[in-house]
Amino acid sequence: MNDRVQQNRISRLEQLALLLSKQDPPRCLLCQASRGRGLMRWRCMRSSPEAPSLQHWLCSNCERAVPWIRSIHCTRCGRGTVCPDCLRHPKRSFSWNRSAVRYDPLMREWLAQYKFRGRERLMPLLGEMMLPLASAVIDKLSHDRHSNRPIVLTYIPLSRERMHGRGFNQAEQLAAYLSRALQLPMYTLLHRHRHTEKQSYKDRKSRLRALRGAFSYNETAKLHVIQEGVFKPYVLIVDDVYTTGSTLEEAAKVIRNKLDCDVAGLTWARA
Amino acid sequence: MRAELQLQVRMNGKVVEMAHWRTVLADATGEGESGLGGGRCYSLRHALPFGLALYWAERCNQGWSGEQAVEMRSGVGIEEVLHWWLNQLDMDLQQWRNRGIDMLREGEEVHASRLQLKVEVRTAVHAQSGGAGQEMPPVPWASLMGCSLLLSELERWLTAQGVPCQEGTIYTQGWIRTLQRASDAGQVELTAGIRVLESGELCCNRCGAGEDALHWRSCAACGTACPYCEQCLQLGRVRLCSPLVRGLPSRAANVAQRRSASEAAAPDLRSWHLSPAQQDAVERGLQFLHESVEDDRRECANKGEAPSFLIWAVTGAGKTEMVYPLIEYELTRGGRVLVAAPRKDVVMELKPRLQRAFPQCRVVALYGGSEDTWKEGDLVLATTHQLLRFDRAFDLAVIDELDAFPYHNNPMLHYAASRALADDGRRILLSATPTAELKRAARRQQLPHALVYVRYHRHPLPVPRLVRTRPLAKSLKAGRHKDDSAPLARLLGRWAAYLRTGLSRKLVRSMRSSIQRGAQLFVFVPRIADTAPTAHLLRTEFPAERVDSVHAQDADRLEKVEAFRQGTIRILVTTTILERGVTVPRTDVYILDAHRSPFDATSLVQMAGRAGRSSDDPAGLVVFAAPYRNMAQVRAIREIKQMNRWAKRKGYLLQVGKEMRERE
Ligand SMILES: [Zn+2]
Ligand SMILES: [Zn+2]
Ligand SMILES: [Zn+2]
Ligand SMILES: [Zn+2]
Ligand SMILES: [Zn+2]
Repeated sequence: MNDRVQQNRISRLEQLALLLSKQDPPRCLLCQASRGRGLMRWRCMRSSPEAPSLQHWLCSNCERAVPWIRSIHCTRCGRGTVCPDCLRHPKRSFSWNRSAVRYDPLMREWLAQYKFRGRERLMPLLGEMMLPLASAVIDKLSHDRHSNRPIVLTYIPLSRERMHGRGFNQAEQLAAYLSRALQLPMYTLLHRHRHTEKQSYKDRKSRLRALRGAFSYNETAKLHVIQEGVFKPYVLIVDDVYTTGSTLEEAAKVIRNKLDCDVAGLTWARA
Repeated sequence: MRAELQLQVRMNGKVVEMAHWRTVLADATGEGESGLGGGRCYSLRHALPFGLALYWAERCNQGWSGEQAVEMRSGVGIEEVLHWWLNQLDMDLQQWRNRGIDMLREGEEVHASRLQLKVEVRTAVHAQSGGAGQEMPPVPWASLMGCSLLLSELERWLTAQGVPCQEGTIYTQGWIRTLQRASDAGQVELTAGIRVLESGELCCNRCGAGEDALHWRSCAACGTACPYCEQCLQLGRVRLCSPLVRGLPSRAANVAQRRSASEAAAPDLRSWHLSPAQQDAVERGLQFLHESVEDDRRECANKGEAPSFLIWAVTGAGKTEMVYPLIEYELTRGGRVLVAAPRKDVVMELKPRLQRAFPQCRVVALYGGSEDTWKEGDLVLATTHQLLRFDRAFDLAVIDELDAFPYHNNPMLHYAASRALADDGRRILLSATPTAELKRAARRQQLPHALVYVRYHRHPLPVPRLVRTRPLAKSLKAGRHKDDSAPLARLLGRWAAYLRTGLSRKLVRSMRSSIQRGAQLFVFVPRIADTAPTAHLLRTEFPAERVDSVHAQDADRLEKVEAFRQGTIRILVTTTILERGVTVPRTDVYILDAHRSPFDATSLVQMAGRAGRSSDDPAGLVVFAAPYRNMAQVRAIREIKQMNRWAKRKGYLLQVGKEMRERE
């Protein structure tokens, strides 16, 4: 505890130095407001105990505006409120899904900047936002009954055209970030075939139809961890947003057809 | 996208006639040699990110005309020379690879398995995806002229032109081939999104950003480490491997349309109804356009700046009207004209006016969310950010307020403004408050210019009055505090007015007299955060009037400004965003906290320029309210007085009335 106080004091000294120096203060990654000038950043005022590392990137306003999902109402999809979707489909291929934040307009804006505008500098921030949730989930899984079950990460792939247009796959990057931070193996288990148009423009039914058969199992993935293990592995599928669960459902179905495992979802936001 | 480098050597007997590197997009297959149009074609083993391939092509082309070419004539085998170049390239690629890896390590954000930078042949990236054999629809490349678009933007452009192009298909082989063909035929030019400079440094070709704004990431499109530009992200992402497609003018059309300067008749100035002061300035501008066509070009090309003409006109001088004849002159010559304004509101307001003035030509207004975005025009009105979509497109650029907010201290927009201009293009700069630099250049006769000292209605500019008040923050605090003590206020009866408002009594009295004379009030405050509280304060002071506040991030900004124009809002509290553009006949201007930044001499002059715009009410009131006077206020007042003095001396003023002397 003393160490941390000490650390705090040093950082405040640094802030003072920053205040006195003519250098530009670091800017908030999202609203461009300068941050770090305030000497009065007490720990009790820190708004997100979930992910204290966010203050490396964000000003306190943006940090406070993150709509964390703190309590889960639906144990299936990880929503903070009651959800008719899960009541309508009681049987699903994935066991559960957990999301770090609610997909409110602000989060939508952040994701749009990263995913559609291509501001890849935001990736570590989003990854960091998922990290506390992911590590809690992993802790829980490894303390459960089957503590020897291997846990692997995978992600929702993009079609080839989309990949060339965008230049990166946000789900893959998030998965890679988590895999590095938590030291879990990550595999490309899926391929996406069809070039499905932007999901957000469609109604539920046509979205489902478009998704059918979109994924296929990647036979070349070398799953030595999975194959050597005696126990049924846990596959966590990483994605950016969970909307209706249809994407996750489709992906989980394909994986479970080929692999004897449990599948669950880890998403950054829950719509 | 990746590109291959091909060396094309045409053999004529034993003498090498032409040696020429070109970039060919990735669908050209095969290693080593293959026949191509009578010559022999060598291609490098590696397909490179597009920007890198282009860099190499340029470098090799330059080198070829030098010593190597000479050596070749003296009997060195072509293979030998080629070999030398390949070695050179190998070495550079090696360096490049190391550099890419270093960059990625610094970032630490890319997965370890991606660290190898692979430069190798994978048969064209797009080869397997569909659309290879099918017939591509014809594309009207000519209307792309001067635009410089990313592939993703090109896709939207194609759709807007009525060419069927499904989302995402632009990256498939069919379209890439079409592009290659258009580029071979000289209809489009493919330029690099991020350029490798001679020094080996990188810079964004679209916005001019240096390496600070470029971020290295592993890229799925070219399979290597590949930087992207963060500065111009809002118009789509530029990467090292993304080409910018630029429409080229077809030669024949250009020569036929473009008349030489001597042929073009000077426009008839009478039809534009200009005031004497305006007419003088316009004549000098026309003279500049007429003369600068031939002589100045070479001179200025060396300096790297397009020939420019400054119209330095006081606020309310009728700048737009002065520009009409100049635009007309250029349009009749067959040139394309750009009018760049700092703000969207200004562009939207200008479009109908210009369309009315030039009914025969296509006027296009570009701003974020404009419906004209993918249209072609002879006269293009654009906000400054939209300029990034143009590359050597315009023969004449009229740039309004080059020193104003978005340009000010923004090298990106300066870069964009000069990039949008054709090689022999000219610039007209309009400003009420030129920077010290421009003023100096004008004074030393280095910059041709015209001064317009007087307003359109030929009355002098209102001279600001200094009123000493307490700082706004204190007023606001006092106001809020007194609000809480309602019982006390009731107790004090009518004297409570003095407690309720935090504004200085002097100021309130002045405002009241403004309202009584039937004027609308422009109240400027330095910060966005102050707008709403100040409006609240004024509302308590003038409960009978409609008071509102507006700032840059306001969703209802346009509606509120419109309401102010209509006169339904009596008092409008705002920040510097409305310091130009909005003109209301009978206005008085109050600048609170005039001593605080971002208010400087320039913006004070601009804000003061909102008053007394119409000839019905030429003597508006301008008040600088501040706890003390500073350089900015003094300079602003000095400048305004100086303009009035010059106007008087030149005899432009209608009446050098008593008012003015009183004010002084
Ligand atoms: Zn922020
Ligand atoms: Zn649910
Ligand atoms: Zn492709
Ligand atoms: Zn850029
Ligand atoms: Zn790339």
